[in-house]
Amino acid sequence: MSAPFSETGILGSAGVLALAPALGFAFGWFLERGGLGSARKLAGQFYLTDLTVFKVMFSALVTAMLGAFWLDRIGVLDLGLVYLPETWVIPQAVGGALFGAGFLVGGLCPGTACVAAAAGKLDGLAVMAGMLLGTVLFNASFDWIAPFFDSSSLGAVTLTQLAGVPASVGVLVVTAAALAGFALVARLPSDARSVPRAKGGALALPAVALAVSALLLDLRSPVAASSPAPLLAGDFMSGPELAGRIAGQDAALRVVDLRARQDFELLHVAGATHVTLDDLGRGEMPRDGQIVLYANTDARAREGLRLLRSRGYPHVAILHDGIGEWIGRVLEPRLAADATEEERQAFNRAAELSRFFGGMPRSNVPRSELRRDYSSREFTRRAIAGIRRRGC
Amino acid sequence: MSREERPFADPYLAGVGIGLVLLAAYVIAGRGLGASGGFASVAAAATAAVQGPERAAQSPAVAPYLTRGIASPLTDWLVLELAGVVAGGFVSAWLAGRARVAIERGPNVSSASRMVAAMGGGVFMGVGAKLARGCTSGQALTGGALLSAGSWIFIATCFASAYLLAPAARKLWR
Repeated sequence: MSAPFSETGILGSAGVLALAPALGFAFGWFLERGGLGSARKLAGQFYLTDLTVFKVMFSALVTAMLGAFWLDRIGVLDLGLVYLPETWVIPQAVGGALFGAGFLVGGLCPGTACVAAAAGKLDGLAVMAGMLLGTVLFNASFDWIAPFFDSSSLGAVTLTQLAGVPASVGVLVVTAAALAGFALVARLPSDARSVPRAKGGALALPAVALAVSALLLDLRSPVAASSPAPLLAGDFMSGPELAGRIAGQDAALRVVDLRARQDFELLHVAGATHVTLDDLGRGEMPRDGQIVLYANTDARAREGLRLLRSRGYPHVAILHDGIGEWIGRVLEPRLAADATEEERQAFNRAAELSRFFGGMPRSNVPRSELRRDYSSREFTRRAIAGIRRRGC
Repeated sequence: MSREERPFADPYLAGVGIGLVLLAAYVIAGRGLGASGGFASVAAAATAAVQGPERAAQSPAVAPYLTRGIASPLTDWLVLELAGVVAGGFVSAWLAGRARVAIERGPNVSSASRMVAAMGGGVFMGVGAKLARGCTSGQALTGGALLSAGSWIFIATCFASAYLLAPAARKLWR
């Protein structure tokens, strides 16, 4: 696996940052070429007089989906390391509805507003200004919105994981639905009188071939379709246990941070060393000591565990839920206002460790604000911002 | 600009082009494309400029955007990408003879009303994209292609809401 370059270290973070404008340029170019810099064309989508939005959006989605699936399966791109947006059912449903209303009235979405503005459309600039205003309004009322904003979290999860089927099933269903949609809109009156038959139609065949063979691949080798070998309870260490061992000055213990250097510099587990996957286990580490590692994604932590064991380190464990667990259970343990005696005792132990590491235990918290899941990267990002604000 | 206006490209080919750019973003940056996230960074930078960085960092909604990037929120990946979008959009429009100052509006609406509607629509999208953690680029395209459950929830309610309200907004566009 050589990609994503940002995670495998082939391109440094400066290199990745330097390519951002180039990717954006190509994105803006194709949006404009396709006609998505025009508010009237976009709005036509909602009156079925111009289906350009649907055609561009779903052919882009299907292309990227098929490409990502196959690059992962042939071993080029590790999809487990690509950031998967997290799911928050109700805020995203409501946010989508508000967004759709704004899209209809504004006639442009944020990306296409930038393209329209770049082409001289003043209405594009007005949409951009409105976007900024809306963002500032949201930020200003965040305390009030937060309980709703943080509700119904499912973490990073795909539709096929929820349905318990291989990813290829989702790939095939989405491809088939998109192609059926394309065939359907070609029958609309708006398209019947449109310019020559779309050349893009020829691309439907390779899309079908790639989607069908994806499913065949998963049916033939179900091992590849399912997740990697399950980890055992002994492969994990909890935040409080790790904290106890660090506080107890366990000399043979090494803590390894596999995240990007930027993340490491913002906040890391006390005494941890930053290492890339390539350098893992090549430096000086006692072979018989306990090594605990953590990363931003499960897939990366598993990869680290596998590498270290193959490089001759038998005692390796993953810090369960990584830095999120360290923050949630070690630095900022919480106690519910209506806590049971048992919870109170566990909190007292946690609070002692928390203060040892300069954390901030909180008691008397409404039970609804207790966390059971520490894997969310968004929660972690916000918690880190909060810790830095306090000036740790 | 007297350049003759050229027709738009085949939408399916433009779509495949965007799909390949998105795929390149997964491969290079381990993340997809986005737009509203760039606006969030700019909004945070503006807040910090107005209130001072100390005060801005007091807000839990602004603070995460101030600690990202290398030096300032403006060097964030999405902001650089968005600057590229503007440049790419301009060059494409200019080469096709489509770059000119104008207000694009429906046949039965004044320029002033169009500008107000555009800004109002932007405000709704700003709030909506914050709630949904992304927009048509970051959720619908990027997350949709990865089959993220939340991204497909966003796609469904976004289009459902727009189609449901379309008759009421008819005067703006028809």
